[in-house]
This record gives sequence, C-alpha cells and structure tokens, in this order.
Amino acid sequence: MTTLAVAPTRRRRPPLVVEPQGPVVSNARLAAALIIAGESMLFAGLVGMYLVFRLSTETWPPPELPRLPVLVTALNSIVLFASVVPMHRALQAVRRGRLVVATRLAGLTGLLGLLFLAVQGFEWVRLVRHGLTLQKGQYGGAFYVLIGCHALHVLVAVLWVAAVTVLAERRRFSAERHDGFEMCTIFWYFVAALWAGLFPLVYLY
Amino acid sequence: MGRAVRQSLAAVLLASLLRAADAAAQGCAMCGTALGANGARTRAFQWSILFLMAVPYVLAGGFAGWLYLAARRRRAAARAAAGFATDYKESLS
Repeated sequence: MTTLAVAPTRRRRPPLVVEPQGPVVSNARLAAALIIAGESMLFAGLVGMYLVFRLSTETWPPPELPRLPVLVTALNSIVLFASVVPMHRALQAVRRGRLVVATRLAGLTGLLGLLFLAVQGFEWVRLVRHGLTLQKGQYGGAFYVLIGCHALHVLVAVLWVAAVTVLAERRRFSAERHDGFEMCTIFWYFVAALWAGLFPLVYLY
Repeated sequence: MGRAVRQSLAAVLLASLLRAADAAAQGCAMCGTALGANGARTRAFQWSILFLMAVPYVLAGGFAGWLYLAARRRRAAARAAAGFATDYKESLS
C-alpha cells in the first residue's frame, strides 16, 4: 500500500487593504491655497485692466513718457527668483529640525527681498523724476497700480519671513510642527511666480 | 442643517439667479454696442474677458490636481509603510 505525501499548503494571507488616516492636506496648506487663490484673482483683475489699456493703444508707452528700466529690473528679477532657493532650503532644514540653518537661510531670503524692494523703489523715484507719475494717463496709472500691488505683496512677504525667522530662532518650530513656516514659504513662492508673469507683461511686451 | 432650510436656501438661490439673468444679458449687449464692431478697443476687451474667464478654471483645475496628487502620494506612503511593517514581521518569524 502506498501512501501519498501531501505537501503542506501555506495559508495565504488576505490582501492587505491600507487606508491612510487623516485629511489629504493639512488645514494650514488649505488656508495657504485659499489665500493664494484669492490673491490670484486680484491680480487677474489688474492684469485684465492692463491688457485692455495695452491692447487698445497703438503706441505703448506713449512717446512723451520715459521708457521703463528693463535691464536693471531684469537683474532685480534674478534677485527675487534667486531668493526662492534659500527659502526652499530653509523649509527643508525646518522639516529636518535644523533650526539654526533655517534661521540663516530665511534671513538671507528676507535680505534678498529687501534688496528687490530697494531697487524697485530707487527706479520708481527715477521714473517719477522723469515725469512718469500715477496721474500720467492710462500708462502711469496701470504701471504703478499693477507693479505697486506686487511690491506691496513682496513687502508683506518680507515681513512674514522676518516673523518666521524670529520664531525659528526662538525654536517655536520643530520637525513635526512647522505649519507657519510652510505657509510663509508657499506665499514666497507665490510672489516670485507672480513676478515671472508680471515682468514680461509690463516691461517686455 | 435641516432639509427644509436647505430647500429654502436652494429656492432663494435659484430665484436670485433667475432674477439676475435679465440684467447680466443687458450688460453684455450694452458693452457690445458701446465698443463697436472690430476696433482695437473691442479686441482689447475681448482678450481681457477671455483671460479673466480662463483664470478661475486654471485655479480650480490646479487645486483639483493638487488634491489628487496629494491623495495619491499619501496612499503610496501609507502602503509603503504597511509593506515595510509586513516585511519586518516576516523577517522576525
């Protein structure tokens, strides 16, 4: 009589269903997205206004008004775009809990933002001296309102960066808790990205 | 929120939309008449209106895409963590 040896069957594990817990995005990120959406609509309205003035005029800028300083503003734009790098690295440092590095990088970002604002202000003073004022028709009005609104946002972003730099120095952030720092970084990305659209539209087109 | 309250709000919203329809159509017609046929100003307004129409869609699309990617990334991270835990248990047994 022969016996059949039956190999022991391995019990198969049921497929693992993994359901992640918690919200998809944090409340802080959602708030930052809503702020940016609102600000984007504000600038969309201003750009719409600028497009109406720009496209309905044959000669732009009007011949009697000074030309905009394209080269200086292009170099200044590089300063603003470059400031994104230390801000991004500062956020990475905060996520790793390296607050000393984050403080230095955020401080550098704030200084670059201040430099951008200082050069913009200097150029504005020169333009006003050459006769381009807010009252100089559609050109002056559209230029100062649109670029001024962006400069105001950069100023707010610089103040925000200064605040989070001080808070990071006082160790109010950690690797686990850094929502305020992240929101500030997102806003900084926004003002830089906005300038990437505004500079070609106003200075080059 | 109760069902009756929701229905009342929906009715008020619908009524206000229907009430506003006449005025909005009149505004568009007035704009078209005032700007003329094919002048530079008309084209400028057309481009501006197109731009302003596009922005909310771009924002909503970007927001939806961001949520979708965030959800995918979160699920992938959860699966990777669960897989790591299973491998770890198997290596112990």
